[in-house]
Amino acid sequence: MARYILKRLLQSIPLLLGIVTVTFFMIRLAPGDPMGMYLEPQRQRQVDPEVIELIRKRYGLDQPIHVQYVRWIANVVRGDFGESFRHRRPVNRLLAEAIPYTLQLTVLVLLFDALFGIALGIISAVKQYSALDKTVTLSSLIIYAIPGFWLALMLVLVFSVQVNWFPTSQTRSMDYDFLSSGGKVLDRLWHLVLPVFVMGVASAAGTARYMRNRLLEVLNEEYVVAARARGFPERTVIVKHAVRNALIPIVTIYGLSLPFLLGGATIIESIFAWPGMGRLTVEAVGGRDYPIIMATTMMAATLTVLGNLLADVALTVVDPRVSLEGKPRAP
Amino acid sequence: MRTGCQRRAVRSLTPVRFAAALALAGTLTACGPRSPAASSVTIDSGGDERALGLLSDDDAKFLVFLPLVTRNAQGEIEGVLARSWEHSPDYRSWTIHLRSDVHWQDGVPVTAHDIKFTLELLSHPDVLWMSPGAVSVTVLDDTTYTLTLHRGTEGSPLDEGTVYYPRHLLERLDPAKLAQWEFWIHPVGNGPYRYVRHVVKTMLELEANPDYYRGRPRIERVVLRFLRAGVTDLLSGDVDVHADFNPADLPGIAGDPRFEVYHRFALGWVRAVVWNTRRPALHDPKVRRALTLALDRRELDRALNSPATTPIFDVICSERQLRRGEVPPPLPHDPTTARQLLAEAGWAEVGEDGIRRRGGEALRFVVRVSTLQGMDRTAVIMQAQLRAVGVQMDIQTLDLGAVARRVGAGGFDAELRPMPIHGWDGKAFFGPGAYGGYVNPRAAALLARARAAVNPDEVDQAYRELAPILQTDLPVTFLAPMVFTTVAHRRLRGLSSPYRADPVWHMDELWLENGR
Repeated sequence: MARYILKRLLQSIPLLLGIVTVTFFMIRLAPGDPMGMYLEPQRQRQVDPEVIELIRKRYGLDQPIHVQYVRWIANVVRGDFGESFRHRRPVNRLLAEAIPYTLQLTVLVLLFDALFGIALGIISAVKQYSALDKTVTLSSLIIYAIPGFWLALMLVLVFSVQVNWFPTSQTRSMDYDFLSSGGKVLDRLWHLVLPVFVMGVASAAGTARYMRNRLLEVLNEEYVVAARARGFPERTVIVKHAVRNALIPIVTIYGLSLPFLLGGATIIESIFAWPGMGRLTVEAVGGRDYPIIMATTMMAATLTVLGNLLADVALTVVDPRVSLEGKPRAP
Repeated sequence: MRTGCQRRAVRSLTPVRFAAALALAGTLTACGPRSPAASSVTIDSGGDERALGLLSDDDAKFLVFLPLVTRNAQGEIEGVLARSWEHSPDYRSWTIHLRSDVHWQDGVPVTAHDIKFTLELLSHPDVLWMSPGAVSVTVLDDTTYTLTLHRGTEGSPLDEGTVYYPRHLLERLDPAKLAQWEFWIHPVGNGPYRYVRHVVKTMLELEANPDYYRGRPRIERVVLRFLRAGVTDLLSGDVDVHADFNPADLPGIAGDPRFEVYHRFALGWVRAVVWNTRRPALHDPKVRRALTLALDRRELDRALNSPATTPIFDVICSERQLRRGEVPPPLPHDPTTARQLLAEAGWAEVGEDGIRRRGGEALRFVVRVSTLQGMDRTAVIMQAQLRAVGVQMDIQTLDLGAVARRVGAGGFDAELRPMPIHGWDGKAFFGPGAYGGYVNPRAAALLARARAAVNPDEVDQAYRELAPILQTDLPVTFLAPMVFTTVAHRRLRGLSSPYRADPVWHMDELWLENGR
């Protein structure tokens, strides 16, 4: 297993290098100029073109693109993603500030997804064609089809603007500092309700559909029929034999969710003014903040590779038939 | 199949769960923000806890730090830190006398050394907020200094957009790490408000400075709420003021009696169409004049929710000329004359598609436009107005930087973008190789003269001489100055358009209705 993991990690190096190389050249070839922010009237002052040229020089943007690339790679190898053009602060620090906020959101979304998606999928499959199954199926189809940004705006309008149950945005209340420890936890949860619900409900709807279909397939497998024939209680048959096997592809899906965990959700973070990776990335793309774009791209690529590896490893844990060494395991 | 018992269980659980959710929401709501303190204003801020920093685009820094001068309610310059000033006949050398009753919030007096330190910091090679070597400062005594301008008006003491920082607290810090200075999060200023506390990525609270030289402000607390979420913050009551409101969202609050809308003109910036006169269709000044006459600029303003008082003009001018109404009247909206001029220019034949033709060639061109500040919406309305006189304008939307880059390379028919109203580079605009193709040595010389001049009278004179050339040849059609919109709760009093529309600049003059 360790050998396999090491081999996969080594194989991922050229892949990651390829991804960041393509990204590096693509964003520089794309229309736009990071110095464009100095042309925006919102800045209220006209920046002297000479100053813009000096800033361009300071960030090495006056150098040929291949020189910029070599410098960037050399810095990244040392763990330095450079300085953000807009924030003028180290990218590493900006990422370190954004990642915890994104993790709060995405971990809860995945929990919501796992809890409700899998549970509803199981109930739906076990009670196939019942009113509950039909309701879950129809609801999940509708929810899955609703654009997340629209649902977010509608929920904000109803629950924040109209009835004022939940905050419109942000991660904490203004008087957060004055709350007790318990109050602080509740306050953070209170701010998470709408964004987690918006992201989680769509995700859970998809998982429920997937889980239902997979479980229905498994319930018709011979070993399930055999288990029933041996007189195992229905609960044992479903939980111990059917659900466990139906969960195998779900494990792969969750393994591939790793990039989402740190990558965040761009639109939802923007709507809810959530200072996470998604919002940081959106601002960086809009402002042609190359160091941030490159750092987030590299992080997403690395996590995708790791997520794939994690999914493969997890598969061997949940499915004894799978072997990473290419040799079938003994039954 | 579900048994009847299971069905009942599901039915009974559903309302229980729903009630539990409601209870949780109710409990958590009770944990939510307390009602705003008496005499407190919450402002939507696009920034974060560094919103008061030198590099921040947020104007909130004016709450804590003072500029040398500001504009009064009539738009005229008046002193803040500066008590008075004199200048040499060519306006390049200034002697500034500072007020002696302004102190930093740690009790240290504000002196000319702070001004010198700040200007040197702003032009430091690691900061580059302004050109290195733009100004030189000599301190004569604690309240008097002389300043010499070396690069046009950059660093002018009459720039109300520059605030000044305490030398005694910052001089030992490394300018290369300026963006990371803790000072920007816990600033010590000299303005009407002082730092109280902040909640990370959430808000920054300021309180009235009791030692403010103009007396303690009437509004006791100002809260900057970070990470602007938009109109919902206003509608939910989370903020009282949104100082950079998207005019496209104005219809959403139009009928809401809680809010008042204010506008301020960014008089240094204008929405303008630059015509590429190298294109045969746009080479003839008659055609450019016709296109300008075909545009209903007032209608464009209305469509962008800009106020009816937005000034419209056709020429490059100084802010002072604009403020004083010393610019020639603009060409009117006159589609009849536009059609006539197009016919005179040879575009008389009108095809079945309604587009004018000359020698079989249709009168059509592409305008490159950015999405900034409703430019793309402006283009759509222009398109309809030009279509009415038989001109087909196609729209290509790009981001601002991309527009600038492509236009700079000459590959365009027309460009719609925000442009500085003055300070143009004469050579780039009207000299040989001008990016719009319009070459006029006299116009280039006048622009260069205006750009080099520091004396505002000389600047205005150059623009006066330039005006008839521009109004005749129309290499550029100005639409209107950029407009910024503030939406504020009606309880906040003292705001007005256009010179008191941004509360953070004049918070010390504002008050709350009923003392709250």
